[in-house]
Amino acid sequence: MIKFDSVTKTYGKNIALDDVTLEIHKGEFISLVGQSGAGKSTLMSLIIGEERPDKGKIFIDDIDVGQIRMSDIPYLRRKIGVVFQDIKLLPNRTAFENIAFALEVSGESPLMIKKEVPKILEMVGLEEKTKAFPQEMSGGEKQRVAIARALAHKPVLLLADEPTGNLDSINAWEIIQLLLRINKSGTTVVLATHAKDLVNSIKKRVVTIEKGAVVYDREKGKYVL
Amino acid sequence: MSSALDAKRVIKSGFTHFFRNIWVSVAATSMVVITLFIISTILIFYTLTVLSINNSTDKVGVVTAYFNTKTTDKEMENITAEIQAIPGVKSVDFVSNDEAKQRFIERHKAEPGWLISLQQFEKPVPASVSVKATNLSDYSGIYNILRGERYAPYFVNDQGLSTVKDNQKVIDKLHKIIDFITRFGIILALIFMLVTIMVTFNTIRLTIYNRREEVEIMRLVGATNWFIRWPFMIEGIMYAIFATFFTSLVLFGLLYLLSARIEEFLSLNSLGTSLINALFWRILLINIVASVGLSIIASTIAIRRYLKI
Repeated sequence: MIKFDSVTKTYGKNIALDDVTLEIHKGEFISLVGQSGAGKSTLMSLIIGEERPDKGKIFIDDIDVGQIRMSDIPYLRRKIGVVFQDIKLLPNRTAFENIAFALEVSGESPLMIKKEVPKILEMVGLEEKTKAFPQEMSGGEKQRVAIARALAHKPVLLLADEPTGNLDSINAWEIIQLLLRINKSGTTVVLATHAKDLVNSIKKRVVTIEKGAVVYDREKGKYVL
Repeated sequence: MSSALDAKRVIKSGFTHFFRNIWVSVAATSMVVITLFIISTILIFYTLTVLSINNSTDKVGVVTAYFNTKTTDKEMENITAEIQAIPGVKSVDFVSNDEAKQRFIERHKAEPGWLISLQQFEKPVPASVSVKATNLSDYSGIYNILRGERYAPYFVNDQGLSTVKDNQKVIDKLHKIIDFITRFGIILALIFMLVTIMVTFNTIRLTIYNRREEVEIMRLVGATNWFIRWPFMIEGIMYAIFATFFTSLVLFGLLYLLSARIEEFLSLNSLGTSLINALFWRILLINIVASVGLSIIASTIAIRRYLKI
């Protein structure tokens, strides 16, 4: 599904990714681990077309992301859901409106939005928080709204960059459980994280990146740095 | 997905943000209002000056040529027709010897001395043509043509002097006034247009900065470039539209209240047209074009420079 073929990305003299070759299959759950600055976020930025590789190729299905036209990037991003550590919800919009926002920008009709958003909120267990504003929700709830928003386009791939970074262990575990459920329904999930215990308890594929290179890649792997 | 729905959402978003940051919007709109007032004032002054000058030109801006005594009636008729065909000539008023004599008598009827002397000559007052030009700038050309070789046999008197007269000095003075108003007005308008572009640019830049998080989210959830850009453009255009509306309302009120006095003061009644008709609609159109144009320029520069998509 995603294929990194000898990908190198540099920022000035800093090598963020160094000749990375990696394949992520459809329906997989991958934990991407590594120290800060190891290259995890760069890898995710390359997948969503935020950055372009200096060398090598990146394919999502048969789309060459490195060669994609600027005007086609929005359509690529509708296939990929993204979740961040800092959540990035719009503070002046309710949970419903934050999710609806993602559908509005892609031109969905108000009727469709009205029908779909409650279903997505139910999927993340927030059907009671439809009208709540971000400041009225806990960190875990906010992150679940962010995941719901990422799921609005029914993406084939969900990228979660440190989604539990700001959460306590209970909320973090709930988020991981939610990601696992999403994965079970067929969505490929890439989770970038520092949380050793969580990674070890997931018992799925683990890829470790160190200084821009893949140093460990194992099915049902463990957190290895 | 419907583009009409997208357009509706983009416009709504522009409106929402315009009113959400109302004080920033008011500040930017005020700057556009000031510029529009300056442009409008210049246009009003310019139009009134031109109208007033054209009005006075009808009285003073005339090239008059007196036929010499050798010219026959037939020749006068032909020459009059010929002058009428010169480019830039608006009208030719022919005054025959008899008519000129009648006018002289009428003018000097209280002065018997003049009337007695009149009887001593066969053709005491020469026949003449008074030529009016379409534009003020055409007078010198017409004057030179009439003083040229072609017309010398008719417009040079017995002493060998040309009988073609004009009010060139007055016309030149009027020319200078129009030139000054045009130049001064254009420079002032350009300065304020530049200031408006800078203020609108800065306001949009500030708006982009305030909404950077929203823009980032829009990008991540797959909003197209135009969907991200156009709300900012709409906001810029709204400054222009509100400014034009406000300026036009005030101008219309002022013109409505003062037009009668201005027309009377400048003796413009002869134009047969209301000052509001002559000025307001033209100014409204220029204001819309100028304000929307300036806003689009400013917003485009700000968006291209600061909106990372």
